[in-house]
Amino acid sequence: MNAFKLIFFALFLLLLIAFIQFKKDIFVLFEEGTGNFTTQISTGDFPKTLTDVTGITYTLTQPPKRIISATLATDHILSALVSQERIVGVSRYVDYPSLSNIVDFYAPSIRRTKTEIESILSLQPDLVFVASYSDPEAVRYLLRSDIAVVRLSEFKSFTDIINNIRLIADITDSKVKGQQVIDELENRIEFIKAQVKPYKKPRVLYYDLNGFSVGGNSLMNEAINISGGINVAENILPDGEHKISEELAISLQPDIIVMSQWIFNDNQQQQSPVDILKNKVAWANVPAIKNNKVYAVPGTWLRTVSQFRIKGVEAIAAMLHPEIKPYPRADQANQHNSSHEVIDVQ
Amino acid sequence: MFNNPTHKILIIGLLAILFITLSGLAVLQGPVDIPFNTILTILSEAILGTHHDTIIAWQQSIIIDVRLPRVLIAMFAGASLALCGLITQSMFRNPLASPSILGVSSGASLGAVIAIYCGASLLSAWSIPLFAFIGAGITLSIVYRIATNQGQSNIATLLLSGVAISALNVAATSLLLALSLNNWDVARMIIYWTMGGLDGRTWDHVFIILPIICSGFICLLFYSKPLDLLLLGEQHALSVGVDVKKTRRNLLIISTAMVGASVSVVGGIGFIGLVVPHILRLILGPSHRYLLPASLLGGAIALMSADLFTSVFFKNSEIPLGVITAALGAPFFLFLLIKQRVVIN
Amino acid sequence: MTDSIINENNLKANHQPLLSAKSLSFSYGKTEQLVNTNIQAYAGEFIGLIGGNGVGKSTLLQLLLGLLTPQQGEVLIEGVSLNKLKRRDIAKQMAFVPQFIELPFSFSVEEVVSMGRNPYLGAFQLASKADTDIVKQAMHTTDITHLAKRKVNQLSGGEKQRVIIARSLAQQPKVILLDEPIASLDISHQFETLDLIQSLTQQNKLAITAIHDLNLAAQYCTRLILLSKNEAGKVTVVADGKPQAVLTAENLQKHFNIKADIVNTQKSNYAEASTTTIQLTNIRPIKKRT
Repeated sequence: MNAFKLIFFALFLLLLIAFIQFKKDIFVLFEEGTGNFTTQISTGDFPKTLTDVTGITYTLTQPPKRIISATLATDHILSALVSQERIVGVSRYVDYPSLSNIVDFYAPSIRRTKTEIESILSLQPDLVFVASYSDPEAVRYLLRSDIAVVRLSEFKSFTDIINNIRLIADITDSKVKGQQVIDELENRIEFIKAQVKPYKKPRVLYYDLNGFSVGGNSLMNEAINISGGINVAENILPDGEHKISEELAISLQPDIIVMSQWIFNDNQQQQSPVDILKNKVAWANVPAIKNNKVYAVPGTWLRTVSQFRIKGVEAIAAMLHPEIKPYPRADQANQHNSSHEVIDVQ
Repeated sequence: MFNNPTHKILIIGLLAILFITLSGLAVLQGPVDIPFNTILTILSEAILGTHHDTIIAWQQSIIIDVRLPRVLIAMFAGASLALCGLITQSMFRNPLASPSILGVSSGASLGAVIAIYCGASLLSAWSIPLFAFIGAGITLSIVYRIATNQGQSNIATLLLSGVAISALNVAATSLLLALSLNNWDVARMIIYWTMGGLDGRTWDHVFIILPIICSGFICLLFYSKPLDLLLLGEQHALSVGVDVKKTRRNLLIISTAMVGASVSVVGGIGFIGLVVPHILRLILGPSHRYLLPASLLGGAIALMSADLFTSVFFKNSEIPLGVITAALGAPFFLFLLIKQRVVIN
Repeated sequence: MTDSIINENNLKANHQPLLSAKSLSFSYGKTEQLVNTNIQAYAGEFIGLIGGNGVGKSTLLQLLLGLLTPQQGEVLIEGVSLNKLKRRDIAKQMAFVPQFIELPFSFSVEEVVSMGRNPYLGAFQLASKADTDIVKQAMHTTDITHLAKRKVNQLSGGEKQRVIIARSLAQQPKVILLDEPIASLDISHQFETLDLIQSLTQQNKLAITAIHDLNLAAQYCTRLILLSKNEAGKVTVVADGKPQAVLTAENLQKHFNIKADIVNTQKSNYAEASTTTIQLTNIRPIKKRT
């Protein structure tokens, strides 16, 4: 009798599994995307079709008017493209000084949301921006809820950032503004590249006091390369951000060390990471420390995956090559010039 | 198990030799390859004060200011974790008792996380150990208060309240982490601190842990007989003249200080406190005269070899040290348990 | 104190009692365990603590040892309060044989017996020749010399009991307290153990033992102390004296809920002052009236 129950249980289980496998399209959301799963958007004018990597499609008959941006990156990008009236929600980190470059940019009436399905639905959006690192549960619900969703998944280089800006500009019907942002970004990158070209490339180490550095194929690596430096950890560490042993970091003997500046102790007169590193006895014989070439760049410029990232690159370039000129700007009076904003803690 | 005292001393001698070899190896081996001769020259300069022109400055700083403190911290932290495990197991007559089960480790972690959260960790290197000690002490006194009635402590209540307070500590740590998320830099610092490990440890850390562990160990030597007696049960111990209440209190204070110190320096490395004393007890028998020095050496050996293992086989990987100690310790522990079970049956 | 207490030791009143409890009261939380208990015990006595299950015999022993602290009253050893003595000094005078608890980790018999020398040795002091002789003597007395190298948890119940008794002998105490020393033993080991304790009391030591078997208690003990509820429903000493005086039909009925025929017998094996003792036969429960 018991054997029969067991067999019944096993058969039923097999049946269910077979059903799920056969009717996979129903359960398509069980599988999270891997690789590039950025949402595809049809070319041409509205109505536009959005195709998610899971195969789900949405049609936007007109440019979206109730946009929710659930990631910090899209908060930043949208800030340059779309008027605030069209945005109903932004990510809750947007006002955190340690993470955001646009603190208090969005009106307080715009909801700060977690990537949490109930609060998103309650805002009745017609378009939601999420990213590969958003809470997958909420994304799954969203994909099922018939609200148009744009998923972004590539954040590894300026090319990725530019593609993302283009995609967002396209779907929000702000192509002209988008192109302006992209042009300026490309111009500023080219400007730096051209300026640093004649100079000898210094050996640069990015170091975080928690013991992290960056290998190849990462934004930070790209930033060092654009700024006319060599990332000493490039072929030593695997791609992306990785832990580096103190010993290894010292043995790389960098000429310049770039760190990320803490925001939280700016106004508390506490030690900056640069001071802490300089006071470490073990680092005393590193050329960068000996020659006093340890710099901190505001973490918000280094972490952002939006157009604001160029500020970080300009800052690093100015540290690596103090001789170069800052990017000339038409509206210098209104905007801070990035290369003067470098935090030099020497 | 070895019954002959000569054999036991021989085993402790072997442990000592292993200990010295490992500490030598740990200084020679690291993520960066530095030739053997260079290391010897650097060490001889540091110890004998002779001057050599051949020394490259940055290699010297790696050996003297990175590797040496790292090795010393592995030694002291491992030793203190193993000793605390030994004491709690004997005191509570329970092979499962360990600083982590009694909530002491999580209390120390909570204290340290509070120090980071408040920014105190940036003011002085001593703030994390101090907060860790306070956290461990408060936790232990609460657990002990709850479980002790009329000077008698019920082991089951003690362990259960330890587990409960431990859960509370972990919850409080998570809460702080969640609160700190509005400041990304602090959150990162807390996350990496809780992962533990030996990276970035300096001579400051050595001087924090050194006095506590050394004085703790010397104090514990005085308790080797009372610990034997407590192992037989508190009625036996009291009958032969051990002031059980006072002894327990003193032992708890010493082990809290040691756990606080080691947690504040290496973070949560849990398995050593449970496994090392147990293995040594299986080998050497229950007498603390042998177990105390053996645990000191054994704990140091365990943590140093785990660190060495990581640096040799997983160069530049991000595997936390605690994972290695658990992965190596657990199977060995189970093997011994099964073997022992067969003998008994 | 009730009138029923017969103190046979009035003759010794001019001597100082070796161990005495003065109006002890003890409670766990709100449950009162013992109320106003007085005991005076003299060297050479073999005192049996009797009473029903859970009446507080173990509690009384632990109070006498100082393991528990009474809420009221005090325990005196040779006229000095336990509170004023260090545990080491108490251990030189008084040993305790608890019910054996299983050990998760095992010592050898010799090691356990040697622990009895603890109160005489400093933290790092090793046992001297004199100490090892005392340990050997204790093992010889309890007849466990042949077990010296064995692990304690490989021994039988009776052997373990003797190991613990040997450990308390190594303490060279004047007083030995025993908690149910024969409860887990077979009949021949029960006799052996009691003979051993009896021989100790003949060497002018004081033994106080909690004991269940009333016949063995009557046969061996020179004095019995009956712990039970008094008229007010509080646990205290309700009878104290020679076995014949304590094991009366009235007491058996009232405090043990049994009836028995009480037979006077002759104790022949030892030449002692009191050679007559009693034996209970035909023990039967009293049926409760509903």
